[in-house]
Amino acid sequence: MTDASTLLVDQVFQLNTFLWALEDIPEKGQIQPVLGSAGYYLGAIGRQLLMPSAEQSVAALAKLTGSTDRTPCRPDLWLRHESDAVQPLVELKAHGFSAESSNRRQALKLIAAAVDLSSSLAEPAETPGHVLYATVATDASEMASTLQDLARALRAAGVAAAPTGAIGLAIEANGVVLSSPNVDELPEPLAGALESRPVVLHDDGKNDLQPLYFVPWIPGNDNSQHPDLHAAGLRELTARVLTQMLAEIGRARPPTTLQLDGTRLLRAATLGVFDQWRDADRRQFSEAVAAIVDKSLGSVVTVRRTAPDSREIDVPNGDVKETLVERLELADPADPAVNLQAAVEEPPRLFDDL
Amino acid sequence: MATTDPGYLPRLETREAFVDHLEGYAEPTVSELRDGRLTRKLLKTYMLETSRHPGTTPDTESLFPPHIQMHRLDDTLYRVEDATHEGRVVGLLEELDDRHPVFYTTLAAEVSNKWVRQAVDRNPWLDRLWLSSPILFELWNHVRRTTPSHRYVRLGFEHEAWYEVETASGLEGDGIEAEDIDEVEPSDDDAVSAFGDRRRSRVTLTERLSVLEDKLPQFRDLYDPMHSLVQLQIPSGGRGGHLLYHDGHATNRSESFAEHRSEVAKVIRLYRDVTEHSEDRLWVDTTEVEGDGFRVDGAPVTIRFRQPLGAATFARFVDLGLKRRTSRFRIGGYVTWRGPTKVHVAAIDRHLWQPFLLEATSSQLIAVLPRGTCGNTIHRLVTNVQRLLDPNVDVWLGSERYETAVEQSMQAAA
Repeated sequence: MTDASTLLVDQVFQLNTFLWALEDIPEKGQIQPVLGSAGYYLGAIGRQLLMPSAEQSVAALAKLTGSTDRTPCRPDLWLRHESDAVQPLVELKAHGFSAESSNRRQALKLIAAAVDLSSSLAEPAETPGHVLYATVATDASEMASTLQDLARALRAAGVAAAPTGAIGLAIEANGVVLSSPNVDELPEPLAGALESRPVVLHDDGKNDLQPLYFVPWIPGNDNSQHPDLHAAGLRELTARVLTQMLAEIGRARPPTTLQLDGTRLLRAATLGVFDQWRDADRRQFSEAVAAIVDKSLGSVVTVRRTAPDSREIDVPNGDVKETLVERLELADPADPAVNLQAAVEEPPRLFDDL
Repeated sequence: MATTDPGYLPRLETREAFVDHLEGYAEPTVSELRDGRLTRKLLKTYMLETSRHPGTTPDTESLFPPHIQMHRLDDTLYRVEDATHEGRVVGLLEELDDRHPVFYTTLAAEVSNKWVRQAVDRNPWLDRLWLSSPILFELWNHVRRTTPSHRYVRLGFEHEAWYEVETASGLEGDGIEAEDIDEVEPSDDDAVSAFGDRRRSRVTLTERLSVLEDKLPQFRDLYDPMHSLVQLQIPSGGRGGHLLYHDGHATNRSESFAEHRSEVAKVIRLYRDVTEHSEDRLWVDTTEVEGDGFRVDGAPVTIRFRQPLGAATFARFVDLGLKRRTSRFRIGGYVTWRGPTKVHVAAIDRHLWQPFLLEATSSQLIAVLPRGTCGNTIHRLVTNVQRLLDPNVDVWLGSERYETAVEQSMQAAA
């Protein structure tokens, strides 16, 4: 079982915990949709938030952040409510931070831009936002103070600041609890949801707390994620890629030729999230998937390389199809022979780019 | 007197000829009546499922293995001949709608069940209709609303805690594909069965509708296997009725093939409506939003057990029910254990080879179905969980109760 404190600071765990808290599922189960029950639903993951363009705001932000960079922020979660106009923007952090930390610039930009979300949403009417940082509960009070300090600094510089708040994640005796140190300052429906410090993921005392992950893997967090969780995420992603390969071969009607395309397999395996990855990650992983095709099926059929991230195989008859299916069914996603982690970390081979 | 008539149909050329033949089939001959016996086989109907999107599966002529020949009689009806049966006519296949072909046969039950097992259960393009208990109970409610209270109705309940103890057959698979539970009766000399007791309940009630209406709620409160309804005989307009089974097969015990076909069509309308409602509500997908972000749409299906499974039972369920090819759950994939009574499965449904995500614990199943997954998966899960794991479960499509969705679909179908 994964150590609770390790799990709690893992951003993949945090993200999926929030996604389940927003889910359309029955109440009073092992998972409580505490935010969904309060009327919240997911507006977007990683949607861009445009920066204020008024001269005074631009100048003040430049002074406070030490940079004229006006690239949009991308809050991890953008929430909406079925009736409340305030839209919470949630950033997930392993730990809290001080007003002088390297996160200062991002937080200042978020707080300034969230005053009115209408330009980011291309809506005519003013749309208020509320900036929330979610982190481990032990850091939540400090986090809330930091955000208030930053908001004060913005106001002092003559820039409007959105309301802020912190959400704490804690693992207690009965499970993963969401709470807030400044619940009175949260949007009303959110305050109502968190006031009682609800349990999102119930702990039965026997099993790992991890819920089923909608997003099992976030590229680019190699250094911030615990190595065990990093490997487990890639193992899960590998398993999902293998099921997609199984699906393509299972649905084949011999005799036929199949294109096993890394991009298509990963897109399906991630419920489409793959399209949001950075170009370099997309390329690296789609080529790694093609390498898995080589390794897992190469002993059964001839695997032809049609592109760095794509392979072609012939399925001449039902017997070959059955053998391919059996080979994949017996594959172990943890086995380096078919594992994404091994394929990604494998040094490039000569002529790989030809 | 035993009969050797296997029940092949004659090689007729038109729908009209077959309908006339089948309409007359249930009528006993004078000699049969005189002798007090019926040698002719009853008509069995097997309701099947292909795909919501017809272009994704082969044409009807190519749905079955090569030894099965389909001879088109009109736009939707085929005469089915089988080379392994010396090319004889084993039945008729009718596309009652574009998603649900129906196989009619007069073969003896043991022959037709085997034929369907071989033609369907390993065929990625076909599945049975899975008439879960909530669907059969909704049909029962329809019977209550439309049938005179003096008529007799037959209800069958079944639950076998298949994964409760290890059995010889269990060691090799859950053994259910090869032999229906109905057919796995221990013999007097079956030592494994004698030592491997497990909970098993089979109750059949044939009673006047008024009596069943009065007593059934009390029975269900007293004995939870009576939540697992697996048979319902819908009374016909005349004598007899139409006996529906949980696995989508039906027996025409009425006097009319036409009426039987009409009842089957009604069941399929209900089934299709609830399936497509489930798909529309549950299919999980991501949608790109303005500014490169994305949204996660859809919702999971939750099946919650009233009685948590023991750790050993849960382990056997994972090993035999979720991993073995021969399982009635028809699921495969890659299992990650998250503790003694919790697994995550990157799962694949062997009907249409559709990947999905599953969390199984000793107290519930949660399935996340990506866009395009056949909703039949849900009905199959519910049906087999009630028969084999826990007869009394609560099921939700997102946060909507499954029973509510079924009830609303019945209103649309009836």
